[in-house]
Amino acid sequence: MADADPERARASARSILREYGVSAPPVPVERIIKSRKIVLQYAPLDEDLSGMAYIKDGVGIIGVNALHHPNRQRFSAAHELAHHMLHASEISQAVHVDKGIRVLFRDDVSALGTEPMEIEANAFASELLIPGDLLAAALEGGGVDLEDEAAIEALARRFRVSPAAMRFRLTRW
Amino acid sequence: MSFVFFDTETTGLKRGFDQILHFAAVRTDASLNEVARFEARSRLQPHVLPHPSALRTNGLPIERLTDSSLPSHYAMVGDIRRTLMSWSPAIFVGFNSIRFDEEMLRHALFQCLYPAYLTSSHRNCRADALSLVMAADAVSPAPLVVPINDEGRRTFRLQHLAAANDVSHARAHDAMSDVLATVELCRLVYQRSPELWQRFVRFSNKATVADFVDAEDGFVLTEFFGEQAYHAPVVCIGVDPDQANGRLCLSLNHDVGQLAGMSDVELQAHLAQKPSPIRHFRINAAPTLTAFFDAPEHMLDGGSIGQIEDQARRVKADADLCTRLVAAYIAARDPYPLPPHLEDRIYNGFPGPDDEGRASAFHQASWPDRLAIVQSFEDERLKWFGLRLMYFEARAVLPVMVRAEIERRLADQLAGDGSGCLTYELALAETDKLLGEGADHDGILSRYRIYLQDRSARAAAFRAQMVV
Repeated sequence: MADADPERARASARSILREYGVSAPPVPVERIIKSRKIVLQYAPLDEDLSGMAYIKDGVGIIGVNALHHPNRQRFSAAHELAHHMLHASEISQAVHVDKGIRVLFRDDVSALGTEPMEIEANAFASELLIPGDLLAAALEGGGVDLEDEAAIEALARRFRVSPAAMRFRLTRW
Repeated sequence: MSFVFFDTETTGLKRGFDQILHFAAVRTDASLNEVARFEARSRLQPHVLPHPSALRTNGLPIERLTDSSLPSHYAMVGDIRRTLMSWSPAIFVGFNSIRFDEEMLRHALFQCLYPAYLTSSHRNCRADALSLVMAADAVSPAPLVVPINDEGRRTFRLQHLAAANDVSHARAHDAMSDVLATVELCRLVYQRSPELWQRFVRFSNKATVADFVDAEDGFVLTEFFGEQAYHAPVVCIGVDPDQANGRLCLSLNHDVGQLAGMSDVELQAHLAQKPSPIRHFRINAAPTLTAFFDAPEHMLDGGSIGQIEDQARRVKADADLCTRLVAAYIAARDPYPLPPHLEDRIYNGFPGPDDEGRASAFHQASWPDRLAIVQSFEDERLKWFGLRLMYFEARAVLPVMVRAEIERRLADQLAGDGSGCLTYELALAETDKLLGEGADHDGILSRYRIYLQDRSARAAAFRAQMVV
């Protein structure tokens, strides 16, 4: 596909949040996925496999690693939902497998064919799980020191994401 | 990575005192296709008397259990550990395993000086196929046929379930046969009730359970009593102060509005009802949970989902009420006394890091060097298990006085009051009872009786000599 368009991905996430009337953290990502008639499957996958997105017999499927931490599971689920929302044509041709933390926070264009898809999916997941307006409300107009571990962890817990994901999200704040 | 299905056959049902005789495990991929299998057997440990019912059920004559060509218990447990570690991380599944096989495995590892919690650590998860098949009976359409037993009641016994569902079960109460039957039953649920299977897999992860019950305003908790499933919409009100893995939930079947106005005494009286409005489960025991939006109507006990969710949110938002509910419930709980026997104290604290290091060193050392390691344990459980282990495996390296003390202690246990291990007296009485019922079709029990009489006589002579 062409260059990544993370803003398109974030807009898509915001559209879903509006559709489901999400007004407070944490975002019910499992409920959103099931409401869109996508099957959410948990399985004991290899450690470096965080998730899968594919279409089988016309049914969208998201695979999540049952052995991972729930915050990571939630991020993986949101990431794979992005592939269904934004990359349906690509994933209908093959199982799309995501590995590890490697791709989570890269934001530069890469020579690899699937990298733009990853950049978009990460942007989508980040916006879906930590919506800008809910984050603003949580911060009550103020900022947060990126070095303040306790504050980062408290925010992360509230949004049910990892501290690393929250820190990354705040860098775009 | 995979699932690991396992089963144990044991000398009896007393965890900590009975031992594993036969262990079988099958590793499958995520779609339940077998990729490897493992079996191990051991001979009887000298201090263990099998319950005669176990011998009859398993079809194991005593002479087979005392066959010296079989590996020792310590050797078997080492093999089990190495295999399961090499298959980790995985989801460990057995039939009724959370309450039985997992406990037998933990005790076996612990008493052989290995870390006890193999299936709960190393990124492993665990689940119980019995709760899966019971949950399967509560969904529609039911993926499994639940048979009726001779007494006209529904039964979830593995051999009966297997027969009713055309699942091969070559030999009931053989560990590998039981494992293979369990895999097949799970495959049926996997194929016919994918939603149920997903919940089963998802909530095998302790961290996921903790996150789910904390994040959700409420959910359905399914509990099983007397082979019946009971569903209740509940909301989590806190961690059990006495058990880090315990969670306390409030049933939403009651009007929760009145609770906030109750005094502490009134709350305690309210929570003392049977069944209690407070439900307890462990996040590491693969509880059967269903999100409200996934729950069919019959799981909501007649309530509307909107009303139930509103009640759940009100409770969740009232931190003071949650605190008071937990305190009122705990106040009525009897304290747990320290068990009298070391074998019963697996959950009374973890060994310290120094002892963990010593235990690890034990397995690396030669038998002559192991005694000094054992003597240096600070934890009296490990010291006793280590001494006993050395007595069983390599008594020649033990000094005479140490050896005599171990022998005296073991002899006392086998002649004790029966609150710990099965004693000679109890084993003989149980054997005679079964013989009296005409239950000995192949001579297993009568030969066991002869064995018991012989050992009991020799033990009596030994104890008489000690008194002198």
